Amino acid sequence: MIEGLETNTALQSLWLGKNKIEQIRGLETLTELRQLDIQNNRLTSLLGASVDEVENGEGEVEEGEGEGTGEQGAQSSSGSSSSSSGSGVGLRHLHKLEELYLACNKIKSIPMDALPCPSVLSTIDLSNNGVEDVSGIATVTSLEEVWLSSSGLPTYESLKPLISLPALTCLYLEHSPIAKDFEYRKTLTRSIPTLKQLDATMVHRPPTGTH
Amino acid sequence: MGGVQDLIHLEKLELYDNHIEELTHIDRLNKLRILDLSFNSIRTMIPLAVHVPLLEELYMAQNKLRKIEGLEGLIHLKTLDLGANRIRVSSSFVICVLLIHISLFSLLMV
Repeated sequence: MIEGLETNTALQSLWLGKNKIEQIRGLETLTELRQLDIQNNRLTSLLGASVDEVENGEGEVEEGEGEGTGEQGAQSSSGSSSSSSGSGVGLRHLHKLEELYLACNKIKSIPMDALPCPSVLSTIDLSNNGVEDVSGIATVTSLEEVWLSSSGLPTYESLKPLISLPALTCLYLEHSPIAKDFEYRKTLTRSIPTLKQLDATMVHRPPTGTH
Repeated sequence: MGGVQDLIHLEKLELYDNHIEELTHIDRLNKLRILDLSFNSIRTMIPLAVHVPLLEELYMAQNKLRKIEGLEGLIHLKTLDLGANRIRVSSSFVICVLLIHISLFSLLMV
């Protein structure tokens, strides 16, 4: 976990890009955060646990509890990496967070309850992660800018949680499988009436009243 | 960082893009609020906790930090830039595997 920041409770802007961070843990006391950048690291999950731990049902367990099983036998913590409760809080408690930058990691999904709710998050950058599932994004109704370039999102169906966002003005999906669709711009422009910019191009809407 | 030690009223110090390896001579800079030491070769921030309690903004991007250490008790810190360092946060699985590899290696060396 990210140790060393427990007492810095006044922190509003935290930049941790280009390091070797594997888990979003250790930010539990930083409830004043407005901007958080952990881009270019080794994250595999938005929850406070790595993907392996989540899949083995160990993501939310108190550190030091429970021996792992089978190939994850070494999973049991020797206590070396945890000084606080260690439960997988992740980002859920950051109710003042406005900007979240997590590009260039290996986060494949936005699960339910991963992001803060209620939330004032206006910008989220998850580009270059290969995100395949955005189901948890629909609850963050404050979102205005969503950057998902180079995602793994393959179909319009997979974009449904995004399309439901009521305040979305800027969306990046370039270099994602869905962006290759013949009617990509047309479909998204129609589905998201609030959209002003799709990828690097402003959305053109004909003036109302003309056909 | 010899040379700054007498600047006791200093509130903002920018020494980015140098070859500084250690945080030294800051014992009396107790009024420092903003410190920018980005693009240096600093390995630890331990002196900060003791000597610069009023710190509000700390910029230490592109250094050689391996751990976040030395920021304990900096309750006024609002902005912290630790980008492009060597800060490793491992899952416990990785730590245990590394320990196993290290101990096996030492057994082989005997």
